[in-house]
Amino acid sequence: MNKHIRQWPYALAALCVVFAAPRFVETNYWLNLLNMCCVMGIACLGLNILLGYTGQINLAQAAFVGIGAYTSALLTINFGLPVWLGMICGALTGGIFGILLGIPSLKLSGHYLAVTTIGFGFIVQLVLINWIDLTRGSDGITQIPVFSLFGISFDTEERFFYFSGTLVVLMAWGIIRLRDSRMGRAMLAVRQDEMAASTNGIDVTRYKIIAFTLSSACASLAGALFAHGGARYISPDTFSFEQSVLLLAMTVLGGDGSALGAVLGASLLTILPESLRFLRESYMLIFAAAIVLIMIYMPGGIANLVTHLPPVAQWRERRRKAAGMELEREEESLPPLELAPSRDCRDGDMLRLVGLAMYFGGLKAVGGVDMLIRRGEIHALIGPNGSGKTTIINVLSGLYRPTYGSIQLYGRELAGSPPHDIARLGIARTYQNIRLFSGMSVLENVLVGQHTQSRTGIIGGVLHDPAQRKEELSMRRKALQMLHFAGLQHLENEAAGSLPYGRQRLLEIARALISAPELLLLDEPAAGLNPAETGELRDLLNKIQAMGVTILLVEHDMELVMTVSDTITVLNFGRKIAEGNERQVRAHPEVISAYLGQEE
Amino acid sequence: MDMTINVQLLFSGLAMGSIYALIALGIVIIYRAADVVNFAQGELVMLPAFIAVFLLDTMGLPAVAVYPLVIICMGLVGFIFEKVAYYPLRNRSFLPVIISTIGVSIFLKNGAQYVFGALPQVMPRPTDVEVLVLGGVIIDPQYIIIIVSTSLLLVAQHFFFERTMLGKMMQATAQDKDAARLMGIPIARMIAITFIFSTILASVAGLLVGPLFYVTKEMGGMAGLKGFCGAIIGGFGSVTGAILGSVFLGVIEVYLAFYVSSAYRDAFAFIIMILVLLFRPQGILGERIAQKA
Amino acid sequence: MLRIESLSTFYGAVQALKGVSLEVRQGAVVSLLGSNGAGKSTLIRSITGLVAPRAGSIVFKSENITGKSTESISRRGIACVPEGRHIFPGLNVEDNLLMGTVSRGKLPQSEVAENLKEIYRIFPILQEFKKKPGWQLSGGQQQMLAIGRGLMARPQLLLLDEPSLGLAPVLVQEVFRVIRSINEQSGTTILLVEQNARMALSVASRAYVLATGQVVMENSAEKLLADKEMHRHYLGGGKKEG
Repeated sequence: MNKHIRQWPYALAALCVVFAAPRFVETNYWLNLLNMCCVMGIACLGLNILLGYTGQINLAQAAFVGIGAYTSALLTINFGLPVWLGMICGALTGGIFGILLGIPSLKLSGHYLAVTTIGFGFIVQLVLINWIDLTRGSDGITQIPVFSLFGISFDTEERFFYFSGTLVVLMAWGIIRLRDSRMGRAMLAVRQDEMAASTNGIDVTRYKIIAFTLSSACASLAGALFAHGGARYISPDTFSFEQSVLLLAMTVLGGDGSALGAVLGASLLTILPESLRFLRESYMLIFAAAIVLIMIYMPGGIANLVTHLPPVAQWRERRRKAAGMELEREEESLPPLELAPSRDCRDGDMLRLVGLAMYFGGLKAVGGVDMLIRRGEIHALIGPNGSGKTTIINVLSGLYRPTYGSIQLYGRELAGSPPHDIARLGIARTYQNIRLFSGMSVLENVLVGQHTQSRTGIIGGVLHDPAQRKEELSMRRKALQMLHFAGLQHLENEAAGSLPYGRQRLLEIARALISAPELLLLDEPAAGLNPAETGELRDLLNKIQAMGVTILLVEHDMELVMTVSDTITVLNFGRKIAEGNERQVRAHPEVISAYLGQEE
Repeated sequence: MDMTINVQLLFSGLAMGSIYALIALGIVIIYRAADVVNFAQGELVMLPAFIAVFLLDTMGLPAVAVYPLVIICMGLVGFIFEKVAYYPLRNRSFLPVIISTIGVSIFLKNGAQYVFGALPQVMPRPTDVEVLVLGGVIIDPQYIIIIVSTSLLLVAQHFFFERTMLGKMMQATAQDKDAARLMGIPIARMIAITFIFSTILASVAGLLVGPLFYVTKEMGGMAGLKGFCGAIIGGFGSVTGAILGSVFLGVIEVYLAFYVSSAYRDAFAFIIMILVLLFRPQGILGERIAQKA
Repeated sequence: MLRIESLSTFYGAVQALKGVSLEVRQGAVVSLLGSNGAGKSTLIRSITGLVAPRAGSIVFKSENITGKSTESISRRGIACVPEGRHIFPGLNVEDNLLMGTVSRGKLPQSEVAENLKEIYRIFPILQEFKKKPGWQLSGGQQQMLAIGRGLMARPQLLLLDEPSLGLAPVLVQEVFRVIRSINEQSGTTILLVEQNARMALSVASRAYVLATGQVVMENSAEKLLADKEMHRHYLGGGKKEG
């Protein structure tokens, strides 16, 4: 997140630990256990991308481990492929199956997705058992070739550990870096709030599929590692539903979205059952009880526990302060924000709604509304509760597909386009109930707001190459300028959810505004604000208008509406009952009776 | 010849479908009351079978005493289960609850093995009749017992939910918790009763299916998942859907296993379920809007 | 009968009520007015115990009920017709009404039958549809059902949260006619939350106006109806500057 905090020294230290560890662990038994920790760790790193970053569940991770193990073993045995190539093929095959499993995730969530992945896992296991010609059935595959690279054969547990340990460190490093990139932030945004992510221009579908693919590829790589190390023997019963549950429990135990936690969780739950073996029959009992207790009493997992240890917490606090100071210095050196809506050649009629209607089942929420929003104006949309205002905002931002009618942005039809496309075309919005990515920092929220204007992909996100760094730097600059503009300076490193209510409202506007939209949709921005904050909001709206951004404002605070709006449209029962400037609307008899009730 | 086989398959399918239906129903009523999917429902089928074998064989108690005793024990298990695996996590997201119920399922499996031993056991049948011959078709009498008892139980539970005040209060709790509170319905108690009720349904399934196969710690796991599949196929959340979907699944599974492949028997349930979820997510019956509105 | 003193309620970090005080006398109809987000529903949810207030007190018949559970508050004789009706969609009309009696404990069959008859007299449409599941009713019928369900509790205090929301004008008239007759015939005390100020003031004797979580006006209904200030609260004032 912060350029001055370098991560490579930590990675280097971790590598040193890997290379020193075998000196202290002498028995093959423990080395073998360490290798198992690495295998599980890599599978859990995958789950960490899927579950921790993107919030999707997968109870078939062990099946992907199996796919990778079998693919690599069979390719090297049957076709004599070099082991490193077999392993890569294994990971790729897992990734392809991951896309397959990702498709249901687009339509399903929660329990449905959980049971679908369970089903997938069982089907894979049944195929491994029953397709005897290919997989040799439940006897399994023995004498899988040893891994070797550049003529070095990794044939002992110790040598193999140098390889698997290095791999774990490098992958964990990459996945930690991924989190602090455009892609990682988009994944986190999807996890925290799919709807807000989509209206910020993130193609939720695409990111879910990417997460499934990466996660499965990691699991399959772990499988290939497992196949070519240790006993060099694999059989279907290793890749069971129970193992998938265990991998999930490891990841959750490790901590929410923490890559290091995932590796620690994997190691702990690999070693713990082994050290409980002296309990004989009851060790699985204790193990199962431990899983339940961990779920109840350690919601944040190991990562959370570690970060709350006093020395770690102090260190993190110092680091956070230092980063904050640097941000402040940087912020002060920056010129004021300039949004570049460089589309000044267009004419005044920006957005046109024609006969827009929205029905839910048989219920009419909006029934045939015509409206015109002109470039540069603040256009208010008011009406009593349930009159269809928020429905119109939801239709405009693509969350609903209108039942009838059309929406044209400079003559281009928008009705039926998905929210992320509409965001890309220049319509940004805020929500009545504030939908920030509340677990992410203030700065990160505004960085996600720039999703449509940046392009770094996975590889850039993992490697942090020069092109990525350059883009990241310019995004950060702009984010700081924006926060300054919105009056949120010096709050960059706070968690968005911990801000006071009024600041959260401003942050949500900043996040929408930073995409330099043609049209900004604000859904009750003054709700819950005190009079002073409402005053600030009024100034901000005027400043935004002065920058050349058009605003559609849904608001109940009539004082605010009447003072800032150029045009006011009044809705009642889903129909337009009046339109005009402040004076015309206020005198309109239908408006008065809609608000105060009919005269008897 | 072909006809008799088909009839035999039909009975076996209806019997398995009845078992799945009892499991599915238990899963659905917990889901509706507490918004939780219980992944340990299958183990609540396995446990009563073990307890019954223990009471019948080791203790030598008569069957008339054993069945009620087992059901009472399991009611208690259901109560503890709610207090341990659900109640502390009731305000958390679905993931910790899923993992917690799976943890309980691993616990119950290994607990059963710890207490009753690792060897498969045989549960005595409630009747001495070996086979029934109906018009040239040979049928296992246990199938008939399963189908008849399940039907009776389903009628009884329908009566309970539709006609008694307690049943209606449980329904009200499932449909709208805040409104139920405003009426003065003690919803925490209603949810606990729902868990007990669901556990009893599962334990009846365990007592019925026990004599058909060996009683092992693994006997419930797959059945539990298939009950879940049945509920989804029928339309998750709907009681009628759970019953019809499960019976449908039981029957089609038997035919597919016989005519297509017995090795992939356990895969069919999941394949059908995934297809249903992708192409008709509301299930065959279609979840009535009302049920979760 | 009901006395609320400097009540403050929070949703997370958001303060929805900022020291609200009000009083409802036995047998009265009191209206609570205010625009969306003013805190009206939060006040109702605080009284019924669905949210726990952070400060202040709610006293019902000289007993402090602040922070008591919703179930126990309803057993003390406070019934609520919640915003958005919240009938039980899967239960039929009659069972919905029966649920209203839960707070009164076990009742003899004859008394329940008597109560049902009374409700059906007030809302004949409900008798006609008594076997229909709740979700099949129209919005207006659902509102009738929700009010009927509240009355089945024989409450001493009836809370009505936005009974006119989303109803066509004819139905709004009907609902208010019923509210007036409930108060006149059985003497039930009513606290009525409304956006439709004219309607609400026509049935109430006294009213409070809430804005951003605070009481900004309180007076008798006639005085408020005539007050210019009311107009301003609903339609805003001031001119566009710059």
